[in-house]
Amino acid sequence: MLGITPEDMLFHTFAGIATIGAILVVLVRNPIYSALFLALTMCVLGAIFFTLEAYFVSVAQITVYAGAVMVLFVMVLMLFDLKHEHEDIFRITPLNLSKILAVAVMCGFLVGTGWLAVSAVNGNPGAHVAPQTVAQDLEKKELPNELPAKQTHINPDEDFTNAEDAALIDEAKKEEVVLPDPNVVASTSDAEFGSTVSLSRRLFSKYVFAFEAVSLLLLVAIVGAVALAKSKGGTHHGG
Amino acid sequence: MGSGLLEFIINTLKIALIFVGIVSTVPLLVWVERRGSAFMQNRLGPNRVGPLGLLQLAADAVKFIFKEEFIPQKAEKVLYFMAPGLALLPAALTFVAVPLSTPVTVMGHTINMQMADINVGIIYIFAVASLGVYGILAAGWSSGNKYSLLGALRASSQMISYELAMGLSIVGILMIFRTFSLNEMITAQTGHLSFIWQGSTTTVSWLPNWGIFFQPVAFVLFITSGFAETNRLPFDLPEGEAELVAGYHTEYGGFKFNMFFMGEYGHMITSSALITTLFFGGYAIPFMSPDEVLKFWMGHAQGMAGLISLSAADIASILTTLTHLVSFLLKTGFWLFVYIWVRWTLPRFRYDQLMDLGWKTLLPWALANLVITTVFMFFARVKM
Repeated sequence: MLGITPEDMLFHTFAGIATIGAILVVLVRNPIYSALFLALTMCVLGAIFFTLEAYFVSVAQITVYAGAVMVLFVMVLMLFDLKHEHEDIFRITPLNLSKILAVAVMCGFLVGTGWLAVSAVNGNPGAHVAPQTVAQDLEKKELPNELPAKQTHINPDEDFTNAEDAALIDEAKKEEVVLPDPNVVASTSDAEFGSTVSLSRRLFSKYVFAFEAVSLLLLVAIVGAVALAKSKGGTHHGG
Repeated sequence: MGSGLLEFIINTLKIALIFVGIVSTVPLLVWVERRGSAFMQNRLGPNRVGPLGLLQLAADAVKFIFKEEFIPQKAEKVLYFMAPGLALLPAALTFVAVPLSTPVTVMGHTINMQMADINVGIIYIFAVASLGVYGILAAGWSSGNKYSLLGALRASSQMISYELAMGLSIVGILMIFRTFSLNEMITAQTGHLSFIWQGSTTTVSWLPNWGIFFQPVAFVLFITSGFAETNRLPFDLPEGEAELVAGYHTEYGGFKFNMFFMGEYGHMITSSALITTLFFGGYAIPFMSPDEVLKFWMGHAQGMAGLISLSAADIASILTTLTHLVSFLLKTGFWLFVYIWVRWTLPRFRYDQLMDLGWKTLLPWALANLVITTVFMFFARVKM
């Protein structure tokens, strides 16, 4: 009746919590509370993904960021003596001044972007497009990239014997065949959206290079971290 | 609008029932733990209050509630009060994704015996369980006590280390079941043990089609890291009383302590339910698919239909769900008992042994298990 669906309510609640949490990360004086608010923001972002039915992304968000990265942050912060950090912020030093400058520049950017967005919507009514048209446009743009991916699919007769697999392959074929019709694409991608099957199909066919490149980058980072820790006399030096 | 409201009411009821179910199982488990440990150590245990000492639970609960509220002087008050909640919440949330029984159909309405059918149920449970560390860390740090902090650091490093082995141990089983959904896993585990090897099907008629026969190594790894994740003996270093007084909850008393306690037992319940679902067929009855059970009750429901104002199909559906619920509870109960059993059997690890076991034993074994599973599935075309 008010034009508010339960999904809207959930989204605005979560978005509100996420925004407040993110602001508090910066405003709170104690770094441990900052880290905990950051973890809260991560969890709520996961919840937003959850309401969008992107379950895998949501759960990965929570596991990786809130469950692993932030736990390490909090753990390390708890080992520090944090009293000196408190006092330093209120001294006038070049570093502190540069921080204030950076905040001012960032605020300027935000206000500028907001103003541009608002004026774009007001000045040109066409700029405010329905989400579905955007999705269709995106799918249309993706088309040329999508078509060569057809060849990279595994040969169906080679490895799959069971009926379930045959169904999967059929489904994949169907998806490819109907691609040219934007309306049908929107509906199939709605049904498949966020499922691990469609996610992994794209991740390991179309985006496989990016995927591998990222994993290489992470490996380099890990090796680098270990090397740095060793060279500075870490705990595992010389056994 | 009417069906939406009905769904809302049913879901609210389910939330309440499952939460109350977990919370009220905890005192029962404590009783089993105390009586069971007494039995294992040739003692009697609490047997004075009520029949078999069962009212001891009520006495404990009353005592927890009426204890003096105590706040240490150096505590960070906000976090100190939040920590027990942070510890209890993930434990209660993980159970949401566990399927308890087959869906029941009454008067045209189908009700899932599961709070939320998430298609990535298993990762959801891991994700939420990994948030349990925050409660422990917050408790240890906010207490302003060095023993608490040490306990919290031990707990978090232990949980992070074993999460890795636990997560890797189930990858093999995910590959075999080809799904993340706990419901589909249970469906895959019904009937007799049968698998496809090089294109030909082999059936073993005297074994159920359970995950443990496909992934025995994963089972051992999973249950071991499960003990570490729940901070139970032999991995209860976070509260090793000889070294750390009581670890991260040293400064907590009364109901706040009780919340940590309930959190630990809640994790135990979820972990037992997961062991059941992943390796022992979940709620399914060995050798019988839910359809066969339904057919069996259909035969018996005809006579009962006259007694209650429900159709025979409804009665059969309810009875099927109840049968599977009992099956699920029995299996989960058995693994809960194993948790208690092990606690009173094995001594505590030393800290370096704990880390060695996690990083140098469980992790390589989990990786090896993964590689071997992949090789078998790819080259021998093994399938469930």
